[in-house]
Amino acid sequence: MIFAVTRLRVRLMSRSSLVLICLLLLQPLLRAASPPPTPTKTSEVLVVAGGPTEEQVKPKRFVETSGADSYLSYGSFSLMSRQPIDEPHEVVIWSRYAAGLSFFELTPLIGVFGDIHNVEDLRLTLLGPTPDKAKTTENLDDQQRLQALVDKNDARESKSVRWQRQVALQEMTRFDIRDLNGLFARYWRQKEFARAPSTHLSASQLIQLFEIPDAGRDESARWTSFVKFLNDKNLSTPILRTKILSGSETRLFGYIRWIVKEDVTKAGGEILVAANSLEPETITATLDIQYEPSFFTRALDLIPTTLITTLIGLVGTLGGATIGYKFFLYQQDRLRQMELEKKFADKKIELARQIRMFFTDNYENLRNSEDEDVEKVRQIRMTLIDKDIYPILLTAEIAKLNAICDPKCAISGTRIEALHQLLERNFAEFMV
Amino acid sequence: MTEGNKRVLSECFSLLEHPFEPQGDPRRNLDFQALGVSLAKTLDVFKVKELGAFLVRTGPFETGINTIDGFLDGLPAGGDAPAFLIEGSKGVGRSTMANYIASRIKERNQDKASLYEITVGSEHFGKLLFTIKAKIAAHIRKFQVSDCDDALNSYSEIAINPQDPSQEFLLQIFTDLRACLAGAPPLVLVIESINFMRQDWIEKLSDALGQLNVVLIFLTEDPRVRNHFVALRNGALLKGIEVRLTPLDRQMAEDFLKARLEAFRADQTPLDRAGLFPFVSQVLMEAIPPGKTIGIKLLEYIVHGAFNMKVEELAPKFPAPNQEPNPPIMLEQMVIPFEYLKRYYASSLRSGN
Repeated sequence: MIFAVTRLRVRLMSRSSLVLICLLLLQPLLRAASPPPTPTKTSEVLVVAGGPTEEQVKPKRFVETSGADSYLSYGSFSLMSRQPIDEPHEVVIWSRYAAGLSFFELTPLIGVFGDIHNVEDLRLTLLGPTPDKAKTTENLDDQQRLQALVDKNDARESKSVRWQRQVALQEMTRFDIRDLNGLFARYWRQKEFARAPSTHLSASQLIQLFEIPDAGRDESARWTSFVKFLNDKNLSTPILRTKILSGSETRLFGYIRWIVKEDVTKAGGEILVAANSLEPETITATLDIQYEPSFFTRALDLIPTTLITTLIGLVGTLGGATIGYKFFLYQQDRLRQMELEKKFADKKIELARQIRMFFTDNYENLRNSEDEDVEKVRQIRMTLIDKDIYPILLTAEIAKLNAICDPKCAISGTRIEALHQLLERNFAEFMV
Repeated sequence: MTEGNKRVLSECFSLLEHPFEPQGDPRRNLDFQALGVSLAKTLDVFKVKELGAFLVRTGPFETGINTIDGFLDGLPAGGDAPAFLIEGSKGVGRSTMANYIASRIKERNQDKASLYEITVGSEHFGKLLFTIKAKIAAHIRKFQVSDCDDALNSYSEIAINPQDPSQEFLLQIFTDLRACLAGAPPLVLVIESINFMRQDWIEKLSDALGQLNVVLIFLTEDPRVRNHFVALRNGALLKGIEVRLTPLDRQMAEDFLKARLEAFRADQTPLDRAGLFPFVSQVLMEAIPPGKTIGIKLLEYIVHGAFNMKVEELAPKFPAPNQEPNPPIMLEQMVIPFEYLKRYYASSLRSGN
């Protein structure tokens, strides 16, 4: 019985071990047969390089700004597909935290055609092996033929070919290139530019690359010409959309931006590159602006920081103290005024009968007497004094009353009317 | 007055008498000393009617006299006695004007009237009433008005209490006196003076005394009292008229001087010694610059003093009676210089007159 059970366990263990061993042996085959993982980041499909090579110039003739210094910041970066692909990567380039930044393609023909060695290769790529005879008899040039193929937009052809034709036609149209020899020359120039060891853009290089005539002699003038060229040809844009086909060639892009601020010493920003809507790759584009400090700034730099801090503190303290003192005075004045007004109100109540008698028994007689105006007001003033009403008036009102009664003081309107208004202002409740 | 002084007056200035302190008026045959009056004091026209000729008839005096005359001429007989108010500062002739009013009242009543001046010494209205009661009593005695004793003595002095006189008792006495005094000669009372705080007394006194044939003449320096009086008059609360006296300007001063000097000039006065002589208009202009005024009392004091100085200066030049001065006195020596006026003017300022 015991022997039988043991034999059964050995048999079962042997079967499970065999299955496990088989699985281990078949694992590489299974892995090769499964599809590759889908990329999630742009960096997984594109090699993005550049950014730190950013340069800046301070041209005087670029723009006319009202007294403020203006800077042209520029730089370049490159993109390349990590591996050969059948369909082009859709690439979008834009910027963040960098106002006024626009992009342009330095080598739009690179990364589109793969490795082309001569015109025939280019012709074969763009126009195909058997050109349409009917079209050739019409004596069309290469640009027109290419235009015809682009217009035809044959869906049977691959997206890559259609993209290559579109790029080629665009380049030929922009630079007025009629045949593929010219396009190839341009392709070759761009290729040599991309292979150039220099990592810094210069206006001269760009002028040469884009074959801009009459670009000027100095760097500033050349930049002016180049920027004008970009604007005229609509080559720069804040959001650049393009496609990359080749996995063996580096595609170069340039960017420029204006900074028109006098006191900015550092301008930050980021360039974002996204392929096929994947998580974008970021290129830092930071600009350090060197400017000539003003005399005041230089003079300020000579003063020790502690002294400036002390002075600022002192000025702040003094300013605060002055404001505080002024406010204190205002507050005191206001309180005093309120106190006086209250006292005046109290006194009016205290002398209510006397004041009322003044207006009923004396005021009208004096006001309507046949005396001259100045005599009338003097008599009323004397009565106010005799009736002890004058002393309860506020100081400012007393001064006005005295001025009204002083023949040397000019009064607008009649004196008696001015006095009546003053009394109304102070004793209106007793005058009715 | 020495013989030399008299000769200076007559021979130098062609004056019959000293113009500012005459002993009499030869033309009107008045002996001021005998009559107990003096031109150097308030003109007592009430006592000597002829003194009216010496009243100042210029500027505010002329206006005032015309106003008084016009009022009294239009005043109907009977009814309450009128009240008057003379406004002006001291020294402008208020007492003289009050005297003139009293003389006119007297004249209207067959030259029968009494005149008393009452100086208000306190703010106690009862004391004023008590004083008035005494004056009324004197007036009754003077004219032997009958049937007044009962009313006058209805309250004893002890009951009235002279220290703090009872207004009620005194007013009751005045009410009781109406019957006996209504037909009696008028009593003129000059109340000096009514200030603003006492202006209510005007109405009270008029009410209490009007029917007693007591003519009240209030003197005041305060123009507000005049306006109050006008308001009472316009409100028919009293019957009366107000007069305002102001200081004299230079032209008025000259008119006064001319009138006074002319009143005593000899009949055969040479032309060069008539008019303002020995005062010179230019000198007066220096004493009273244009725009400035002067009270008549002060003016009289100054010119009187300056005139006396000149008389005293020239008197020694007449050593014996009927003897001509040697050397003869020239006309320019008789002119009164500004310095003489200034001396009195300055001293008057120092003394605060």
